[in-house]
Amino acid sequence: MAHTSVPQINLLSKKKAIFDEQAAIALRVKVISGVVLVVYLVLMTVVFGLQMVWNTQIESTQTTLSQTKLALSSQGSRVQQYEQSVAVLGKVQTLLKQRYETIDLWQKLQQVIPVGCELTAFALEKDTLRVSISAPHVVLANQAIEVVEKSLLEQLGAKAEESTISRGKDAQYMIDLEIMMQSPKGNKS
Amino acid sequence: MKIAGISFSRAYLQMWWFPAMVVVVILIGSMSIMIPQIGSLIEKDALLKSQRASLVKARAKLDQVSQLDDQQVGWLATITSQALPNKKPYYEVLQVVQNLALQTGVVVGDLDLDPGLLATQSAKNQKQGYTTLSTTLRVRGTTQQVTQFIDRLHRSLPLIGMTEVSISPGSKDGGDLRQATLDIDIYYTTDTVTKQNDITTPLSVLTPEMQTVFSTLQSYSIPVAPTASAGGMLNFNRTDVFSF
Repeated sequence: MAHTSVPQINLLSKKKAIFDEQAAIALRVKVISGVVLVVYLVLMTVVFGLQMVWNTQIESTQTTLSQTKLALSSQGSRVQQYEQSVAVLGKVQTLLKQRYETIDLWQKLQQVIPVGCELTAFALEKDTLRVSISAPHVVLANQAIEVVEKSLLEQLGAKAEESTISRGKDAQYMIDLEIMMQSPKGNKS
Repeated sequence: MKIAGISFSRAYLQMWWFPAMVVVVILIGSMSIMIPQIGSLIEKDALLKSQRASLVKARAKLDQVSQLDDQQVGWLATITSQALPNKKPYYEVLQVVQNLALQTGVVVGDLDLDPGLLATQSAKNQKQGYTTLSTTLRVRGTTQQVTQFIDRLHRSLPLIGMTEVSISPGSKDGGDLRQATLDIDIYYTTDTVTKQNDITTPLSVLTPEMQTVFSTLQSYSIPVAPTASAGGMLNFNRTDVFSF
């Protein structure tokens, strides 16, 4: 006698097996979810904790910074005075460099001009030096030209010279020199 | 409703509610709390880093400032302000010329320091941080006196530059008296420094070159005001050095 109850039992068993399998998966997922939730909550706590730590540190740094600012502002006038002085010193340095060449040439000329001769004009405009020397007689006049040539053309690197000798009303020989300086020598103070 | 071929039931709901809730909680929590909090944390971290960097710089500056010697700073300020005054050094130059005339024995003639001129054309010649006043000075004396005067003028404060010198006989008798016309530049500055307000900017350092310049300036003669007889700095009644 063929009864058909067996397939029904098999179907229920299959359903149960699937249900059991799903229940096991759900349990695993529940555990994993629990772990994830815990991790998430821990992370959240860590983030909040970090926020608190950061806030404290920012507050502390701000306080220290304010104190340092206060200490610096109490020295404000001294700092202002010092900075102003250093800035001015920088400008003076530039100025002295520019002034140096004129002074140096003036002093060198004073040194090299022969005794008896006299420097009567001196002008330095850009790279052109104009010098006038007065000499009592022609020998000294020639000597003056020679020493100026030697000192300026050789030592200072002048590149061209134009010289004229004329005789003034006072019987003095006037030497006019126009010298092109090669490059500014103003690099010392 | 069927899920994976099995009818939905209360049992399934009991199995899956927890993971579903976790997902929902994490999603809502992330969107509303975690992401903004992490963003804020990153911002605060950057702020903290920048504040710490500022603090380090401010402390370094404070250390530098505390090492400054009041006396040295005062002396530096005095010398630099004498060398390159922050106003037109009208009186100072007069005083230098007067002192040098007394020291060298030259007699000072014209010094073209017209206040109107100073305020207009001459004062506009600005160069690298300083302003130049070009003027002419005439002195009379022997060759040696004139040369000495020029040399000392170069070593006086406020700084004066010489651009042209013309020396001619000072008398017709052919004596040693000379008259010199000096084209001079007088310098001053009008710039002010505001750098010190920034606490993170390190203090300027005196370079060896600047120290050399400072030493040089210290060797220059500073005009000393004559004892005031009526509360003034200069004795303008004095005429013995300004004669022609």
